Amino acid sequence: MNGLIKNNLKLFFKTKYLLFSFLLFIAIINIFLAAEFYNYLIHEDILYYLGESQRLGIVYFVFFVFISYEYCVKNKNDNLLESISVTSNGKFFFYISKLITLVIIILIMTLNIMIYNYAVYFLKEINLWSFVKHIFLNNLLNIFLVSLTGICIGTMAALKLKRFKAYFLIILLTILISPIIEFVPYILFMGFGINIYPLMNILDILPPNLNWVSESLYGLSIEPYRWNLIIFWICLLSSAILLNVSSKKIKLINYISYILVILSIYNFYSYMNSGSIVKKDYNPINFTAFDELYYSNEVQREEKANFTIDSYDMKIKIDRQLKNYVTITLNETDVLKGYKFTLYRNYDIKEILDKDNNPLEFKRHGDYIDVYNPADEKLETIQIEYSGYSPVFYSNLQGVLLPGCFPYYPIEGYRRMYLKEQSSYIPIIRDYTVKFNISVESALDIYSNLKNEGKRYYGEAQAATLMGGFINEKKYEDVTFYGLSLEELPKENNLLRIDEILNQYKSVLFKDQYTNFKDMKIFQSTITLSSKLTDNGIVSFQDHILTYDLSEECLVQGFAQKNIPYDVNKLKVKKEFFDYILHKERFINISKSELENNMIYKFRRLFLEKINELGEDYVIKKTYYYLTDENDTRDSELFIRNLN
Amino acid sequence: MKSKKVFSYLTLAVALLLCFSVNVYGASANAILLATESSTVSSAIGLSTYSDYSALNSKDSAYSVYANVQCAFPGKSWKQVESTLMAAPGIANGTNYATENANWRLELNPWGWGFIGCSANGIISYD
Repeated sequence: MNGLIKNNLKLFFKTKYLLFSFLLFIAIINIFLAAEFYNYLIHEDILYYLGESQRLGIVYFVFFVFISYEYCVKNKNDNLLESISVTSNGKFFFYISKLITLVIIILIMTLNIMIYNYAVYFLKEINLWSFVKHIFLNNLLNIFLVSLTGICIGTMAALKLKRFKAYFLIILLTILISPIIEFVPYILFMGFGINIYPLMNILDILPPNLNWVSESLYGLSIEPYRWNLIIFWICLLSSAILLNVSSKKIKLINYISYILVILSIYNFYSYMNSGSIVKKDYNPINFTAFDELYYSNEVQREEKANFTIDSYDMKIKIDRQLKNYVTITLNETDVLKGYKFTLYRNYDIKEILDKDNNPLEFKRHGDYIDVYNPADEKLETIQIEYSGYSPVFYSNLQGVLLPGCFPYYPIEGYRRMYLKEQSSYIPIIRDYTVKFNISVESALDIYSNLKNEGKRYYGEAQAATLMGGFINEKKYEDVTFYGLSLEELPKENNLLRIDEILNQYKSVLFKDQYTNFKDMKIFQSTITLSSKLTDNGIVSFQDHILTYDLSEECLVQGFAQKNIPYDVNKLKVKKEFFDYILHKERFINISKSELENNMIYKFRRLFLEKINELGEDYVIKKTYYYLTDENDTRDSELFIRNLN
Repeated sequence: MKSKKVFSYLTLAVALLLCFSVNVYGASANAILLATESSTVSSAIGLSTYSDYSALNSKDSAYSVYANVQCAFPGKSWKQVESTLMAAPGIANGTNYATENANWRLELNPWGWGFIGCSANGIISYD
């Protein structure tokens, strides 16, 4: 067999057109990687470099599908196969040795990309073992296994089809696998309501999201469903190849083929149960469209609960998706017939029980749950078991992004959670604290605003934030900062001078409510949080803050917002208020023509008019009272027009 | 003849100066999608750590239109940051931030590839 492989390797490199294609392929790959390496010296973003290198997956696929076809079909034409087939199992060994030869070439070419990726990693001088593993897994999945699938397709085509049909099939498959076909299921769904995404996705073996800014907490997509899909194809095709090239007499090979079929079925089943994934295409069940389409209709409600919550006891398990068993201790003043909760709609409730484990009747309508009390006494405790995921706020084996302002556990009352015109989630923050006792079962190290003992998180807070992935913990005197390991912030030193920074704004933004920031926790917002949450991901709780940057402005806004109840109707004023205080020079120096003609500044114009008319101090003071006054329910426009 | 040349150079210099003076405190770019176009991208507005955008899909549009905010960091290619589907009629607006300076642009794209028949406009800017 070894000799056969050596001969096959020689044959590969002696065949002029194969050798020429191979050299051309190497040249293209290395020119691309070197050019990106040069760009890396400018941006120094290792995750971006990894993403760009994984784009080559499609090039590898196309190359290996064609090369394997040509390589396998070559000897068919040379009549070599006929003579080999005469010998015992000759055809089988002949093809297997060819496949091994091709796998050796894939290995070399995968190593080629990995060398660049690891060179960039070492140049960056970050000590992050999980990212070393991430580079390896990405290359294994997106380059090695994608190429292997290509080889299986090329070999099957060589075994079964004539050149014209084979080339037709190969070109068709290449088109179906590549991202250019994405528009077909999209148009069918949006235009005619026909959903062929599940069918098309079966061929979706290439890495997704490469046209989007990378999610630094998460890395590139290597969720289990992608491995399942690609292993499904490889097992299915290789079993077909084995059955085609082996003689019926070799039972072992037949058994291996059947095992491969079983493996492929198992992987297909696992693929179908993908759970939480991050895929930023326009599939109606994914990141971009899932909530966008749902909240386009008037499905949101707002209603205060007539009870409060004393404590949550949660047993969270995060693998492919989130599973939670939560016991909620209620604080009811009267006996209630119904209890209203908000829980993100894609978490499926298995059951709801009372304190004696008796099932409680409930009604689910979107994000809202009504739990009915059958007895004439207070419920005191409700137990809810549910599982599921959000396509945006992910929770799986690769990353956990569960900010406390997102209802991944039941929140009392009906709450509005999406702002359509900004495609943003509205942070849900209660104005009192509750006790949390959470145990989290996850393969990742999870960081939280709560106190932590091993896998247990506990304490009293408004909400529980859980984050895991490429994140690390740093102490800056009294402040704990959870930063993204792959996206270092330039102004981390500001955390050492928070008091000094906040003092400059004390008279305007903090007044009597100047809060103590001791034991404060600050989480760096990911791109998902900063683009998908209103206020650009600056969310403030009493004990922790989420912010995309540690600039003075972001820190001030983060701390100041703690005293400002969240009200979606006041968003416009809030933006102008903070922009005026924190970026005053920029704010007032905007050119007159821009201010008058640019529709972006329509509300700013009103705000500036009031400042010019009534004076800065007065407008700022009044605006601050308006923002902090929960009872003032006027919207931004009404407030600014009424200001006098 | 010579004075005419000097005058034209002076005019050019003043025009350039005006262009730059507009950019001292910011820049903006419009994206206008005509009913005959299947997509449009604004010009890039230059380096900034943030950008405001606002877009409007008119009531005469045949379809919904995506307002896509894209950014490119030095050395990197254009990447999508945000994508909002505007009904007809519908609006989208917001601000996007980056921790380093990036170039920004706004793309208006009817929801179907190659679809025409939508009138929309948008602006992306920083001040």
